[in-house]
Amino acid sequence: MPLRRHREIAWQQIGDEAVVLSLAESRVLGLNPTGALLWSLLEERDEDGLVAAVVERFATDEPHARDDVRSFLSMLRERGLVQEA
Amino acid sequence: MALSWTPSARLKQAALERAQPLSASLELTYRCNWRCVFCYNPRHNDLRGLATARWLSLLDELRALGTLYVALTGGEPLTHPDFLTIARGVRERALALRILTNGALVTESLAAEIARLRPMAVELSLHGARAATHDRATATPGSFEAMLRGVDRLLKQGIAVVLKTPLTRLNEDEMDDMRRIADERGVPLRLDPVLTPRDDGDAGPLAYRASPAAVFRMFQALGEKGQIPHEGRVMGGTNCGLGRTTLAIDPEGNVFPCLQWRRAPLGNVREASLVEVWTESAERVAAAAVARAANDRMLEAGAALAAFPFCPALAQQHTGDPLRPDETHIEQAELAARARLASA
Repeated sequence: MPLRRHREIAWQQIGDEAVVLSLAESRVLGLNPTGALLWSLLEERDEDGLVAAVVERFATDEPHARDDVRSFLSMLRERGLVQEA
Repeated sequence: MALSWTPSARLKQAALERAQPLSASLELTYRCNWRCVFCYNPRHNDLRGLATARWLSLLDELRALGTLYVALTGGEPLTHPDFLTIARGVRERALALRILTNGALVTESLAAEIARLRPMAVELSLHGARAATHDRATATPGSFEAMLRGVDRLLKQGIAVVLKTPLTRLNEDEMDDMRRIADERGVPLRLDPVLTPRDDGDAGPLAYRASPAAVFRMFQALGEKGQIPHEGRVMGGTNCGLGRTTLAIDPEGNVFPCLQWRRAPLGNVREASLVEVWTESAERVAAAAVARAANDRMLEAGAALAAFPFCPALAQQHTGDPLRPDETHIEQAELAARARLASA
């Protein structure tokens, strides 16, 4: 099931990267191209869909892409930047 | 393919290179309930302005242009009847919100509404440590008490508050007490000795400039905390985000390449989309070139000016040339350099 970005964030894409502000914690985070892609799609796609997007965009294999997606989503959850839809 | 957090400084540089307006200032109204004697805005009673629906569609355009930070200002933005609608619009688009207000109209319920929006900060002007001084500066009896009530209501809601003080000859002897007011509340106080002529060209506000001795004392106090303004320039760099990462829209829809730059508007959002104005304006490109040239010009102007923040927009207002600092700027750069040496 897709996630939702937390209400208490602000964000913007800059080129193929992105910046996310956690307003609750006054923290600024930058996302690399992989992170920015996942961030832009996470409200539309579930884990399988995100993995497919990474495989397609970055020409990587599915197991590595899945590891990256899980690791990234886990980081977002830990930092309170996303919530369950 | 590791996932890593990218340093935000690099992203700022990327925005600069792409001319992506990360920060936008929206002057919602000229109206103001105060009459500050050194204010640049001569149109306190001017009720003209964009329709709320246009402000909201501008937020969509800002989102598309790549804006991240939106500051709502004025005049006094809280006099706008749809202030909260517009402020909510900022946050509904996942943009970061700052509010620049005098605080006098902040009621308990409005403070609670603002808290729900999670602004990055609400910035208020403190014009003196005593009611007599503050109210003289604002030409509004009771404004000191009203402003502090507003500050305390915002703080009660857990909102990040920043106090800002235009340092003037009216309040220059109250710096320590103004710091005490800020410290007691646990909020930062930012002193700024720069005053500007009115938008209509009237130089009256400049008569209120703080004395050089007071400006030096201000830099000395900042030096004790290692906070003297400092610009780390390199040849070929950029002075500021003028024409690239900053944008301002006035109440009548004129778009400028930063809040201070009033040489000429880039265009008007009543006649064209903001995206068109931003991407197609020759004035924006010219302003961006000024920001590049200003960096190298300051580097060549000696150590004091090279190390001191320079505003081409203010230089344009003071000298008619965005690359030529006025006497006061030069003096302040030298005072800052002296204070830096003294604190080393």
